[in-house]
Amino acid sequence: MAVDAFFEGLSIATTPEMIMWLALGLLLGIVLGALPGIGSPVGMAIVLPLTLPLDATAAIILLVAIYSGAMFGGSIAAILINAPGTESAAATTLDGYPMSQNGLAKNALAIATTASALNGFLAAIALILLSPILIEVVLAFGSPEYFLLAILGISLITIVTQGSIVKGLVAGALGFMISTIGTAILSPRPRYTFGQFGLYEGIDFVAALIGMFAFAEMMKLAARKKISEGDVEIAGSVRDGITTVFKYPVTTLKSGLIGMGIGMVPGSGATTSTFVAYAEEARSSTKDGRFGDGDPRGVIAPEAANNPTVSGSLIPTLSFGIPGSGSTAVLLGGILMHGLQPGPVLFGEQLQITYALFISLFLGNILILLVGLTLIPYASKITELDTTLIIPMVIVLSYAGAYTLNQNWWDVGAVIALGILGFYMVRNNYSIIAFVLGIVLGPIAEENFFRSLQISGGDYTIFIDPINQPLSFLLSVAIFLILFGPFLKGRVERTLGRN
Amino acid sequence: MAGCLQDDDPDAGDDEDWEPAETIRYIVPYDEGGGTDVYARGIVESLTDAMDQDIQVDNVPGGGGLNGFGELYGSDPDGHTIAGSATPLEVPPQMLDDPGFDQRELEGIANIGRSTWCLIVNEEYEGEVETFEDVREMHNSGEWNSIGIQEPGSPQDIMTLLAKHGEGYAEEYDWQWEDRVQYTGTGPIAEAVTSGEVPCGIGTDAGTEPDVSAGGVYPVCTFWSEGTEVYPDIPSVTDEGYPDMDFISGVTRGLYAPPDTPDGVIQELTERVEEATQDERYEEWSDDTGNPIFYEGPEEANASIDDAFEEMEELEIVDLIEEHS
Repeated sequence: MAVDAFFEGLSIATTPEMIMWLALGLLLGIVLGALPGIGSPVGMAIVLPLTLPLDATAAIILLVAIYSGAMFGGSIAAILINAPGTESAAATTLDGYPMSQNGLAKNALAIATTASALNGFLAAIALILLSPILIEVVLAFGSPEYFLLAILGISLITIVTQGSIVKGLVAGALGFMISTIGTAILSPRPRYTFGQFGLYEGIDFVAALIGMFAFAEMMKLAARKKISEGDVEIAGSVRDGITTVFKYPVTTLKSGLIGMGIGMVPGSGATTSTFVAYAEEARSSTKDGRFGDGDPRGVIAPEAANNPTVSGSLIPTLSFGIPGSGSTAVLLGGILMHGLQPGPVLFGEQLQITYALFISLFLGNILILLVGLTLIPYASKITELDTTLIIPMVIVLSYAGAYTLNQNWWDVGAVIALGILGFYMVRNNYSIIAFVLGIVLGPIAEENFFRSLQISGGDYTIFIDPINQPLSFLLSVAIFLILFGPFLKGRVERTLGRN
Repeated sequence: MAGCLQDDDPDAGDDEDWEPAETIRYIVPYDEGGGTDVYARGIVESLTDAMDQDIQVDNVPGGGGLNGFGELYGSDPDGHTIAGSATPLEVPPQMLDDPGFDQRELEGIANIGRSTWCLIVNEEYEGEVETFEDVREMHNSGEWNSIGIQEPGSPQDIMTLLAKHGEGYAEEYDWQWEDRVQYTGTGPIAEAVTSGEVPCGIGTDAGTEPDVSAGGVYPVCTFWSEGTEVYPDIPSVTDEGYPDMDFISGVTRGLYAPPDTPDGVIQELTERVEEATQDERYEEWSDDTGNPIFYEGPEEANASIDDAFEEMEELEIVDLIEEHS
């Protein structure tokens, strides 16, 4: 069945129409990713409502192509103007910009293109090989496990968000609370609707994403006085850049594995994986490293990690409906909006769609390599686009997109209100990703919690029974350790210290 | 935006020779991919030709189908806005919470298809559990505790409540299930039965078909007295001697126009819908997807909603739901 689905997926992904959406998405992603302050979640959020007339597979391929393209595009601005187009490219600035200043901009861009595409290519193959196993894993998850997985996703916010753990949890809880607006999932009672019919369905998840990513980011961008460092001349050699990647195969493969592994963890994303890959490379190369002064390995590591993170984060998104990052949260919005249901169906009867998506990722990385290497001499043009012109365009698209969703003015109101909220959250270091995950995971947690108790007749041991529910037990232990581990560790160390 | 598209021709709508003069907006009051959406997209090609106008399928989900119905209710009765239904799914939401309009005032155009509710069981029990009677025995003996259904007010909720507590039904059915586990649709119910989270569940015939074909579950009976084309070999509960629940055990795919749409317009619309239902492309779609199709006129479409209200009011369904769900 998997082989048939693979070939069906291959025939879907290689139709001229799908290749066109793939190429369009990649180009759009590269441009949006290269614009400081825009990046993949914003680009995907504004494109999402525009995909409504498309067929589900075309829409998902377009969104994933934007995601993948933006990962690469983000590095252009990071290397050339020290202003990462996406947060995930922030680690690339550390050595990419110094390389540009040292007259090696072409080398750095070629390293970024090759490392990103090569590992994206390998990760897409890994995904295709892994999918028959994934269905078995997904089927092992029942309602209690889904509830605990959602809680695990929220708990992981405490690890992956930089800054205060408490602020991360507060942002997640606020998202959770917003998700309770509307008719309760498993009972016909409206909650917090104030008698307004337009609120019966709650705050549209996609409207919330547009507000939080597109609207808030534009406000943030408008408030910023200086966007980037001065432009630099594009000098150096593309060929040397490409060969540099192959000089460090261990760095490339190790970073790819780090990217894919971290991408698979619900709640984390490329921002984390690229910094972890960079830090690991810096740690393991202390002897001869010149990290921070333009060491090519400082570009290889984050760039080799970013595209595998896309592949990795598709795993929890497609199999459990639990997004691994802001971009996959938007992708999940697209999957649901087009009537596809994450879970066993996408790995069973609709496996061909999943394969078509993975094959598109694979083809997309070939295109990234071709387009990226061709584009290098002209790369600086993209970063010269006037951001102040883009802000009003994105805002208008946000309004129009939000209205298109359900022809409901409440959705437009939600974009504005959540946009303003998002702006102040960013300014005060509250994680937007945590907030969005709260909105996404809230209903999953609520629905499965309620259902688990219906199955157990109200018995809470269904979540911690090691004999009958071993998977639930393990997930509960993991949540406990994540939430209380740091406190317990400190206490144990103090106790041992006293003795 | 919809307002801008309306025709401002004063003669539109009340002429007996009325013809569609602009793009027709086909409101689907549920999400993309649901049964009502699937039917809309199945017929749209044939209907476009029959109407000689473009048809724009517009999903307006929410409020148990009432958001979309509300949108239709407020549209101009000029024949250029129609809505699909999943009667009687929209009836309990209106009875439970007044939406500010009455769907009985909508003008029926036609019924174009029907899904029926079926009882499916995990494959582990094949050979042991073959009839509704067997399922009932499993629950009444305590061997099974649970059954997968949808939210309170859903047809599965009402059917299982009637079979345990409903006057005129409980005496005959005497179905003593203990726990009802709620899922968000036929797909999740079929998945839960396949994985063994619940031993059995109730889903639509066409909705459960992919899981039945995949082999994790099998159908035992349908609650629709006339049986189902999707599973022609399984009996209905009435075949087994139980009272029929036809007012709730079928999902009729109806088409409706706003209140006060002139008779001439309805007549023209229903003729064109009838033409579309006889189109071989629609028939092919039905064969490919397993979704049964037919044509019934405006009277039957109006009766589907009216009868559902009448039966549910008579059986005091709201009280039953509020007391037991």
